[in-house]
Amino acid sequence: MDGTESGQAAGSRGEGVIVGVGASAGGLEAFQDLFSRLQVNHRIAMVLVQHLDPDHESLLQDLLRKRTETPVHTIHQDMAVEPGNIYLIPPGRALTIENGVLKLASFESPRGQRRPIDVFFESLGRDRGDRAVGIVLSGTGSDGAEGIKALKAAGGLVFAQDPVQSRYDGMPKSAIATGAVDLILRTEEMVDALADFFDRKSGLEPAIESDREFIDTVFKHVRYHTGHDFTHYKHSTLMRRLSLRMSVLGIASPADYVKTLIRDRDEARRLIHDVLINVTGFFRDPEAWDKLRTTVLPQILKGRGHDEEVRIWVPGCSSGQEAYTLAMLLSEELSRTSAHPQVVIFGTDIDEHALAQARRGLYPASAVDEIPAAYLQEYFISTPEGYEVGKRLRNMVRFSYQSVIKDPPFSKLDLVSCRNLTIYFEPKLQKVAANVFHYALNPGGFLMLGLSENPTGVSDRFEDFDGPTRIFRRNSELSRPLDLPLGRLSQTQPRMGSEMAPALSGNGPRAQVERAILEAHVPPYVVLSPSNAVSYAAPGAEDYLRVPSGDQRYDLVSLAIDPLVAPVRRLLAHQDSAVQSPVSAEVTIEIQGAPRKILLTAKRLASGEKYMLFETLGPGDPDALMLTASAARDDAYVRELENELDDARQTIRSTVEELETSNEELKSSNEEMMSMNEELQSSNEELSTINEELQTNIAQLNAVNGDLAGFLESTGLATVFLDDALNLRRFTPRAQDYFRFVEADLGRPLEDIAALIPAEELIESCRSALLAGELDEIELATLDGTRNLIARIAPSRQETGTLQGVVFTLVDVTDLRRYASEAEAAREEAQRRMIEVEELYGASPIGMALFDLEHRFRRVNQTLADLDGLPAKAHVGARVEMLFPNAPAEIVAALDQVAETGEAVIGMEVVGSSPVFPGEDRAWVVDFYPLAGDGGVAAIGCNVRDITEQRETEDQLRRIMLELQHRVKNMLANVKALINRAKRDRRDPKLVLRTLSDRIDSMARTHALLTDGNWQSTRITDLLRPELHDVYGEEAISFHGPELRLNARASLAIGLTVHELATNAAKYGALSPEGEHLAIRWMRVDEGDGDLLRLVWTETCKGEIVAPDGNGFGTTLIHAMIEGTLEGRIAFDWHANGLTCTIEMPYDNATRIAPSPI
Amino acid sequence: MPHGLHPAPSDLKIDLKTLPVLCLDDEVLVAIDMAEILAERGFSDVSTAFTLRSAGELLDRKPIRLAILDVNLGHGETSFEIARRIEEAGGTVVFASGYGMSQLPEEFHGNTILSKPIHENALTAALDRLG
Repeated sequence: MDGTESGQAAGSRGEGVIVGVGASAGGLEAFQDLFSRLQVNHRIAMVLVQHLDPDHESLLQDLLRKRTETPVHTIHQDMAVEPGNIYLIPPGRALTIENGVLKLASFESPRGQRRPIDVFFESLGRDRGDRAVGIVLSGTGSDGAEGIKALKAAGGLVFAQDPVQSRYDGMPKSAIATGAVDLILRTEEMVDALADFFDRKSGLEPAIESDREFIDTVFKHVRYHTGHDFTHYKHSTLMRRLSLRMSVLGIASPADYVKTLIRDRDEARRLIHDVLINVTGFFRDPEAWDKLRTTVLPQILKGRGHDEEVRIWVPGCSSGQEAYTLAMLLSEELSRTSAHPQVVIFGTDIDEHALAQARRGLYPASAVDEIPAAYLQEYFISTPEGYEVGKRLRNMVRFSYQSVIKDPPFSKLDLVSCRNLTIYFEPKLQKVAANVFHYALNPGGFLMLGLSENPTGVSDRFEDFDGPTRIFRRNSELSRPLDLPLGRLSQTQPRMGSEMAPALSGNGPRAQVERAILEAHVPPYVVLSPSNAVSYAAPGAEDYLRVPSGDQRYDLVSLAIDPLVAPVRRLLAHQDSAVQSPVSAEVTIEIQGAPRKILLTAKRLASGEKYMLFETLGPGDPDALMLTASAARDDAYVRELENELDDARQTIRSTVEELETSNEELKSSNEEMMSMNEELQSSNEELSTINEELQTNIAQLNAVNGDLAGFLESTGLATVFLDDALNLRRFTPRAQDYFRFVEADLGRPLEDIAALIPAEELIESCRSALLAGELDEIELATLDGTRNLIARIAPSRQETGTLQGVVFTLVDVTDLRRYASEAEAAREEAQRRMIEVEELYGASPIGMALFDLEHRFRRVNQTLADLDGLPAKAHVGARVEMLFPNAPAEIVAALDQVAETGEAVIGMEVVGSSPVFPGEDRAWVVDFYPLAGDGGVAAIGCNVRDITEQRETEDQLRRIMLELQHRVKNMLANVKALINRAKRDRRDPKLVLRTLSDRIDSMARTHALLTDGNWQSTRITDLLRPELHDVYGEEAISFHGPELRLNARASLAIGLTVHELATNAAKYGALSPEGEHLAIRWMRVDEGDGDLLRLVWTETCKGEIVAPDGNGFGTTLIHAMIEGTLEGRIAFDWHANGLTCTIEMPYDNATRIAPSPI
Repeated sequence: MPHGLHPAPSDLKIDLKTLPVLCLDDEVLVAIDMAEILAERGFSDVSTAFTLRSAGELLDRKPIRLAILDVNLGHGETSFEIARRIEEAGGTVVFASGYGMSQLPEEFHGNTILSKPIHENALTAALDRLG
C-alpha cells in the first residue's frame, strides 16, 4: 500500500504507467493482438509475463517484433523500464520490479507451482500504486488472480480478457472471480481503454478531490443502497477508488456518476467492493502468526476444559484466509493438549462477495503457497480447481455478515484478529473500532492487528503484549457502552410517508405516474433489509405498525402490531429459508376498532431485501377476530403456537425433503463430476502427450532453424527469401551488398527496396519461377557495371509441396570470370611451355628423362632412346631397374638420394654397355635433379650424355701433348747441340752464326713439312724444293725420281744431309759461281743387297773444283744421319768437274711409316 | 767402380779418361754434341750411337765402361736393355731423360740421371762425382 501515493503527478497518455500483462496458454494470439494495437510513440511501458518453458529459448521477441513498432526487449537483470517499450520475461526466471527496475531471480517453488504473474503483479502494485495496470489474458489455471488483488488493493487498474474471446478462459475467469477486475475487455479494446482511462483519470482526480458536496452525495447513495457508511473512511483511498470507477465507466463529470449510482444499484456495491478489496492470505506476515502460535494460543487454551468454549473473532475476514489460518494453528495447538475445548472462530465482513468465497472455502493453488505443506495436506482437500478447506476447519469457523462499526459485536471473546482493516478508517472510526474490540473481548483477551496498524484508541484500553507483531491485551476496565448506532441510526431510521420515497426519486413524469399508481392501487407495504429491519413503509402501512416502548429494535417483528407478530414472524421465517416465491397468510385482526380480514404476502428479492404487503380482503368475521385477537389470550396463543409448530414441522419436512433431493442431486452431480474428472484426466494426458510431441517438434524446428541461420550466416552467400507475394521474408547479411535492406524492410515488397542491381529483371524472374515452380538462373550486372552476378532463383516449398515463396542467391562471378580467363591464359602459357619443353626434349643432344619417385620413366626424349637403344615409348611407365636390369646400381641409388634429399646429383659418371654399341664399354655422364612439387620432390629429372668419344679424344690429346713435349724438347736439344757446335767453331763468328742460322732454318723447314704431314711423312720433292729451288733457283738444279714419301726420320736425315751438301755446293761446287748444274736423282733399286732407296747427288762445274776437307762438322753430321740413323751408306766421289755423292739406305728405313704414337 | 780395375789412386783420372765411353741418343745432333763435350773434357775414346741396333753392335766390339744413355729412343724404344748389358760388363751408366726418374725401372734408381736438355755443367759435375 506504500506505493499508492506515487505517480500522481504523471501526465496523460500513460506517462509513468507500467502495464503488467500476464498470459499463458493461448496467450500468444492475445498479446500479439494487444501489442499490435499500440500507437506509435505511445508512452506506455508493458511488461509481459508468461509461463515459459525454462528449457526452451523463447522465440517471442522475434515474433513480436514483426507485429509491433514498439521496441521489444528480453529482460535482463536490473533493466530499467522506460516508457514506450515492451519487456519480455526470460524463460525460467521469476520477475519483480523495484523502483522501476526489473529484477530477475530464480524460482523458489518447483515447476508446476510457480506463479510468476502473481509475483510480478504484487511487486508492480507495490512499486507503482495507481500507476500500475494488470492485464490477465488467456491461460489455464489461476496465476494472476492473487496478483491482481494485490495490484487492485494498491490502487491499480485491472483488466481481464473476455473469457469468450480467450482461447483458455481459466486465468481470466479466476481473475474475474476475485472481483478485482475493473473491466472485462476484448484484446482489441484494451489499448484504447488504457489510454482513455489515464486521460480521464488525470483530469478527474483534482476535480473530485475538491468537490466535497459530490463526495457526500456519493456517500449518501452508497449508504442508502448498501447500508455502508464510508464517511469516516480515509478520503485518499476513497478518492482513488472513486476516480478509478469513474474512469472505468468512462464518466467524466461527478453529476453523471451520481446519476449512475442512482440508476444502477450495482454500482454502489461495485464501489464498495473496490474500497473493501483487501489483500489477505494464509499466514500473511508469518512472524506474527508464529508469535501467536507460540505465546498467545497456549495462554488462551491453558486450563480450558471440554465443556468450555474458546471464542475468536476475525472482523473484516474478507475471503476467509485469516480465519482458516487461525483455525489451523488452533487445531495444531489442540492436538498437543489433552483438553479439547470447543473452538469457535467468527469470520465477519461486509463484503458479501468475499463472504461467499470464504464459505465456499475453495482456494486456487496460487492462494495456498504460503501454507506449510504438512498443514495443506492435513487440512485441505486437493481438487481440480485448487484446494478446498476440510471438515475440521469448517467445523471451527463460522462466517457471517457483520459490520464492525455498525452491528453489535460478538462478545466474550478470547482473541480478536483484525488485520489491516482500521487503516481504511479515519481516527474517529478507528476509535469506535477499538471500543468495539474492548467491549467484545474478555478481560485479558488478545487483540492482533496488522503489522503497520496503529489505530487511535487502542493504546488507551489495551496493553502491549508484543510490540513488533502488534499483539495487545485488553485491560480489565469495564467496557463503555457501545455507541453503535452511528451507522445504523442514519441508515435504518424508518422513513415514513410519501415524501420518503428515494427509490422513486427523481421528478420525471414516469416516476410520478409510478408513485401515483403505487399509492392508489397497491396495498400498504413495507420494505425490509436482509436483516428484516424496516427500511421503508408505504402510505397506509402505519396501520399495521407501532412503536413499542423500551429499547428500539427496528425489525418488522418488533414493529408489527401485536396480532400480526406471529404471522409476520412465520412468513419472514419462510423467507429466510431462501424460497424465492412469495408466501402468504390470511389473518383477521382488529384495526381501528373494526375487524379486518387481511392477506399478508412476503417476498424476498434477489438483493436480499424483502417486502411485506398488507392487503385488505374485507371486513373480518368478528368470530375470527375473537379467535385471533380478542379471544381468550391463552387459547389464541396456544393455537398460534400450534400453527407455528405446524408451520415449523412443515418447514422442517419440506426442508428435509429438499435437502434429501439436493443430496441426491449432489450425489449424482458428484458421480458425474467423478466421471468427468476421469475424462478430463485422460484428456489431460493426451494433451500432455501432444504437448510433448509439439515440444519435440519445436526443438527440432529450433535446431533446424539454428542450423539454417548458422548456414546462412556462414555461407557468405547473398541469399534473399521472399514470400509468395514477393515480400521480403529473410535475407543473409551479404544480401545487403546488393539491396539496401534494413530490419524494418522485412515484410515489404522487394520492389519497394532500393537495390544496386537491376531488381525489376530479378523480380520478374522470381515471379515466373514462382508461377512455373521451377529453378531459374539469370545473369546480371550491378548498376554501376563493375560486378557480374548470377542469380539462382528457386521456389521454396513447404512439406506439403505447396509453394510458399521464392529464394534467390546472388553469386558474384566477376572474380570467377577473371579467374577463368586467367586460368585459360595460364593454360595456354603452360601449353606453350609444354611445347617448348617437348621441342627442347626432342632437339636436345642430351638424353633427357623424367622419373617419378618409384623410378618409373614418365618422359623420355629421342636422344636418350638412341643412347639406350629402346624406343622412346617403351620407357614410359616402366621402372628403370626393370627396363635395364644391368643398369649400374648407382643410378637407382642416385634417384633415391635425390628423392630423399631434394638435392641434385650432377655429373655422375657411369660406365656400362649399350645394345647400340654391342660389346663396347661406354661412358656416360648423368645428372639427376629434383622437380619440386608441393612440399617435396615430385619427380626427378635426368640428363644423360655419352662421353665415350670425348674420353677417347681427351686421351689422344693427352698423348699428343706428351709427344709434342717430347718433340719440342728434342728440337730444343737439337738446337742446343747446334749452338754448342757453333761455340766450338773457330772460324769467323759471322760465318759461324750464318751456318748455325741456316742449319736451324733447314731443320725448321723439315719440321714444318712433317707437321703438315701429321708428323708421318713428307714428299721428297717437298723436302728438296725449299732447300734447293727456293734458295738457288730452278735453272741450275734438276730433280728426277719417282714421287715417294719419306718417313719422319728419313725426312730429317735427308733434309739435313741435302742442306749440308747444298751448303758445300754453294761454297765450292755446282751452286757456286763456278758451278754449272746440280742434278739430283733418286730411285728404288734392288741389286742383291736388298730393297734400297738410292739418291744420287751430281754436281758439275765449269772449272775444276777442289774437294773440301772431309772431316768438317757437316760431313760428320751427314754420316751420322745417313749411317747412324738410317743404316745407310754415303759415298763421295770427287772428280775434276764435279762431285757425285751416292746415298743408299734400306728402302724400308726411309719410307716405312712407323705407327704414330698419337 | 767397374770390376777388374784396380788402378793406383794417383793415376786413376788418367785411366778413366782413356776408357771407352758411349753417348747414345736418337737425336743425332745431341749425341754428337755430348760426345764433343766429353772429348773436350779429356775423354779420348768417345763413341756415339743413334739407334739401339748400332749401340748393340758397338758393345759387341768394344767394352764400354761409361755410358750416357738417352732413355727414350723413339718409336717406343728404350735404352734399359743396353744399360743392363753395360752394367753387367762392369760399366757405369748415366741416364739422360726428359721425364725424370719416374720412367726408370726400380733397378736403375741408384743411377745418376741427367735432365734433358743436358746442361754442360750438370754433365761435368756428374762425371766429377764418378771420378
